[in-house]
Amino acid sequence: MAAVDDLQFEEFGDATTSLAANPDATTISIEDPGETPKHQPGPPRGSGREEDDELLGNDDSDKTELLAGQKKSSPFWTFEYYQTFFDVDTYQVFDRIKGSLLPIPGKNFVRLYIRSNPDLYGTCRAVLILFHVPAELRQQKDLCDLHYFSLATTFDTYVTEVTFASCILMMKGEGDKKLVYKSLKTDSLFSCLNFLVSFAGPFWICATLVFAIAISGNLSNFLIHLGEKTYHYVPEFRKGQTAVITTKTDAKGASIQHTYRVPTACWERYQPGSGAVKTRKIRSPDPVRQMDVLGMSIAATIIYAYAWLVPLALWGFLVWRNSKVMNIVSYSFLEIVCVYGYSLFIYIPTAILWIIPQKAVRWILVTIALGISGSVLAMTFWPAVREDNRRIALATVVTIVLLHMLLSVGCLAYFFDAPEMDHLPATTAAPNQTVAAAKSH
Amino acid sequence: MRSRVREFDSSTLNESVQNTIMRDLKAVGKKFMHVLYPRKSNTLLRDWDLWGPLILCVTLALMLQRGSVDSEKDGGPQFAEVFVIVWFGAVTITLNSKLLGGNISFFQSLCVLGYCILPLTVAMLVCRLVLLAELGPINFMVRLFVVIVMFAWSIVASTAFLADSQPPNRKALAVYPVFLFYFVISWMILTFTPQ
Repeated sequence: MAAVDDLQFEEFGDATTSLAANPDATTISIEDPGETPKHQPGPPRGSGREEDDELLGNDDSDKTELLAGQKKSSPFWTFEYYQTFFDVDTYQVFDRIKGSLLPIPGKNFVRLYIRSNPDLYGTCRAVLILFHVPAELRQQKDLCDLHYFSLATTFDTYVTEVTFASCILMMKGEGDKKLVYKSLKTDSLFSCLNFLVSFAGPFWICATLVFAIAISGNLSNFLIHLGEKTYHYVPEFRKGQTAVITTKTDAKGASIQHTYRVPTACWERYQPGSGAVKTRKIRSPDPVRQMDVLGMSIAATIIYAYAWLVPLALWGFLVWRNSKVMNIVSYSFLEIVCVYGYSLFIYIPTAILWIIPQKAVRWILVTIALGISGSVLAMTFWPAVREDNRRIALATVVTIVLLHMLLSVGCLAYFFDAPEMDHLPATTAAPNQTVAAAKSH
Repeated sequence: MRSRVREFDSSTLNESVQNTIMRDLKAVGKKFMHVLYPRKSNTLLRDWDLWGPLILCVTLALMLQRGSVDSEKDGGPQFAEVFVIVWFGAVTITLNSKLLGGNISFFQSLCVLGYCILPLTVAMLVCRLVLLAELGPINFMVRLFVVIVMFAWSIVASTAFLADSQPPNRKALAVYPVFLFYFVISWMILTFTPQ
């Protein structure tokens, strides 16, 4: 190994001198482990990059060889292929969750956490960061052996915080790119690529969120309607069909809601207060209502659709912009899904706290959650669009945050009743309206 | 000669139906005992069967469904919904633990998860009995206590069997979905109110 390291340092000198005259920005990003390295969008543009192209051209065949030989190459119909999407450890998931909760400006969540080992267990956004791990650190069990990182001119110092000493020396300029590629060619640990994108985290975070919202909605509705008496009246019709009439009265005894559900064939004939009504009073004093499976299904559909369709749209948009404007970083679809999933984590405690039936509290919670997750998303996606037209970049980031807000406000509005229902005046709804409402059930 | 030949072939075809049923029932009952007193043993994993989970799931779904027609929009789960939730939940957890690299087979995991619903089924029986008494806060507290105890029992039983099959750095990732699964079932049991 010492020989390899010496070789690397020698090349370091060569690289810096040869690229000293090349100040152009270069970006290499390897998006998807499944794709061959030829799909890099950055290098072929610009005049000052022939050297890079040459180098990459030379390296491509070697890398492809190495990649094909040592990477996972299971076809997508085998189980092992999908197993690679779950290759993540517990501590990694916790780190990423923590990262999604504390948006620190200047640190790209993806780069710091996810690119080292993108995983979808918690849906982190993984920007592929590759950096070379020195020999002595490879022995440590808890470090990924080899990572790729995308070189950017605005390479921040936060990478140094990721504790690899030799990387600190390496990640300082244009020369690093060549260095990394040379070392990749000769490094036997190239095989330990595990920039695997994992689905496990995002999936279970979304599942927990669905149940948290449904259960909290249940509990909060109980707290809001506390003190009301619910009576179920079961009238019998001549046809033998039954209907349900519910009258809710608030604590003062005034009735505030009538719900009629009658068969559509005979609603014209039904008159409230007619003699055909048989009443049966049922009051359920439990603090929880029965589990609303339909509501839970709707919540699940909404949240999973958001976690998969919005990243798809965003990825498509980024790819489209990438083809027009050179971007520094390009994210793969699975990375975007990762980030979105982890960014939804903040809504789990928010949903639990939404039980408190105060409007002000709920809106403060919405703002806080949106602030945290929105800022994580914005800071993650900003490097991807900042090279673009200013307006488009801003519009993209604003749209991302807006969709996030739409999700949270929509869930709040749909699953949680407004906490001020007891202020409504007592109304007796006309049969037309209520039956129209009932017809839609 | 003929009897010796008969001894060598699989003899279960020729035994009486009662023998077959009793043997299967005894196997199921033995596994129930293992769930109720969870020790680290391989019985559930070695000879897995899905009879027990089926019996438990059907019992639970039958007890949880609402029978009356005056169901409103706050309705509870129907038989099919409970069935689907239990089985698809178990399948999802199994897939998750296999994808995380566990060395347990698909049906073994389903078997363990299904059998560990037994404490919750017992809780459902107890809750239904308690619900025959007068409704009130005490009633609810009793049911809450029973459901919490049985939920903890289920989790302990299933982790005793499942945790060993995962690599040590991923145990929490594999156990959390089990927790979520039994939590949802416990919630269904707790919020059951007869109409």
